[in-house]
Amino acid sequence: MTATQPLHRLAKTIRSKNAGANHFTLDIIFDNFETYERVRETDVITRDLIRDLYGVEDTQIAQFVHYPPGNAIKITLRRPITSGDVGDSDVYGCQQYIPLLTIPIPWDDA
Amino acid sequence: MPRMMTTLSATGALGHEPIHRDSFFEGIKQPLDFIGADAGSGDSGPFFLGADAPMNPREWEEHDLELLLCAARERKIPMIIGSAGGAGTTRGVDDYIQIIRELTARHRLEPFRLARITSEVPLDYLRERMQTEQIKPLGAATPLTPELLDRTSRVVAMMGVEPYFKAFDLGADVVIAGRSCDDAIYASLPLRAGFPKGLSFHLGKTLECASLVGTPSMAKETIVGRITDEYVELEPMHPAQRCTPESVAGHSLYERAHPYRQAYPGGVLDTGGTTYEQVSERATRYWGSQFVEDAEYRVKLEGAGLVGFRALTIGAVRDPIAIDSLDWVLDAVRQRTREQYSQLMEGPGQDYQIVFHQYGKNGVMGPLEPVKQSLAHEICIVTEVVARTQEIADLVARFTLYRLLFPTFAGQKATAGGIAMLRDEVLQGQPSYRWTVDHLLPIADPLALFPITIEEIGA
Repeated sequence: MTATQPLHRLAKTIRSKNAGANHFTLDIIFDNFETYERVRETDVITRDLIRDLYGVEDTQIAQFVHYPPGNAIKITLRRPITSGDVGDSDVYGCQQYIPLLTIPIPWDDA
Repeated sequence: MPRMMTTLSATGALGHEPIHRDSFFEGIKQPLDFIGADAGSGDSGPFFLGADAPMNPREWEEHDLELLLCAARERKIPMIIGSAGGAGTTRGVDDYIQIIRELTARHRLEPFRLARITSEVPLDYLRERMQTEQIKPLGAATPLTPELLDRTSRVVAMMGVEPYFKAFDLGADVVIAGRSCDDAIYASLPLRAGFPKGLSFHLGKTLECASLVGTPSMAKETIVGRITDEYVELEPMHPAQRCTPESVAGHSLYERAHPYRQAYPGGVLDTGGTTYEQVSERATRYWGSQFVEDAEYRVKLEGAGLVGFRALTIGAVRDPIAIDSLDWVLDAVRQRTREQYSQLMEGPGQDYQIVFHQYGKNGVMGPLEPVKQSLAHEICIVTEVVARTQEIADLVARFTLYRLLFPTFAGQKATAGGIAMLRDEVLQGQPSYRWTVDHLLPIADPLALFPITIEEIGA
């Protein structure tokens, strides 16, 4: 069986923030290109995974982009409620990254 | 020696929290050509635009403006403030101009020319445009409709670099502008001087949040930016901060939907081919950023409208039997409220809305919360009621609070009270606004929506 590491042990930054009023964006940033590339090669972090983690439809995933110069993966989701509207409880969208923290990444030399 | 322009950014949100002075005073030792600051954000929600309310304490705005203005006037270099007041409304612009007048008198500054650029868009202008064309959504779900505009209190357009060009053509020393692309604040003078468009916008993009571009992450510390025809260079002024290729490239991600494409009026900055290089212990240089022109010049419109008046109550449930039944209890409260106050409802039941924020359960992530079974031993319930009038909101909020005090649920042991009230009172929040307009408007003349006036200030 392959050993795994939770994503928060491998990434330097995991965060979320509004990207305009109707979206929030998730950033996963690694310290160096090697870690980024190795995580990418496991092919665990995919659109399908995000869809399942957040329980959303694929159409709500506005962007899913790899960004090698920043050693980063960026995912932008449509907000269920527009920022600040009645019922919204995260005006800045800055506490929506939590499901990413524990994504298990296959990591043999753990 | 290649030509170079040098600028600094001391804050990514003027007045939102005072600028830290030490690194700012380091920064102004540099051979600066201009000073900029972004004051705005839509991130704080629709209230400030909709209600035309100041986002920050006046004292803090005055603090930041005083530092920037005195430094700029001492050196006789331009100062540029975009998105004045936070939302960039005309009132926000005029409040800043009033502060500038007071500071100028207090410090007996020599006369200078101040440009005022406003960015509010008359709703009638948009109604007229909509008669002949479709105004397409940016982040909104649908094209702009007359109904959406009817529910809109105020709209601002985000200006590009052209209104700034015009202000400098008119001899401005200080520019106080309404809603503005953050990056245009820093890109305008380099562009006007003929520096490459891709580098100028990328300079703006990396400077607009000040020290958030460096590592370790710090806020309100000063960053100095230098642009040449070949590259841009960033250097933090806080001794414990560095700009590294990773921190600068990583900042491109911040608060943006896409990591290397950023849209502006007139085109897109593409930083996909940018190369970043550490050139000293604390400075990073980059080049290769491209600006791709759009066929059509479009500006982003932001609009917000009043939804209703808000009342809040705060309480918590500690009883494990009640927590097990909490959804059921809250549904029953909602149902009882509807029955009791059905006479308050007009039309399709939109006269008031009740939201129970269940902190300890799914209060933060709502429908996106992956933890379905809360392990919390107590749950805070913030009840938010938004209604047509403050009176209805207060009444409904009070009713829900008392229904929570005396709930009925299966297995109930306690009969003397079901909620620990923080206080037995209804809190009045600010009126509730909603983002209604998040659209793109083509304009033939980049200056069309941004009236500019110039006045002489001082002595």
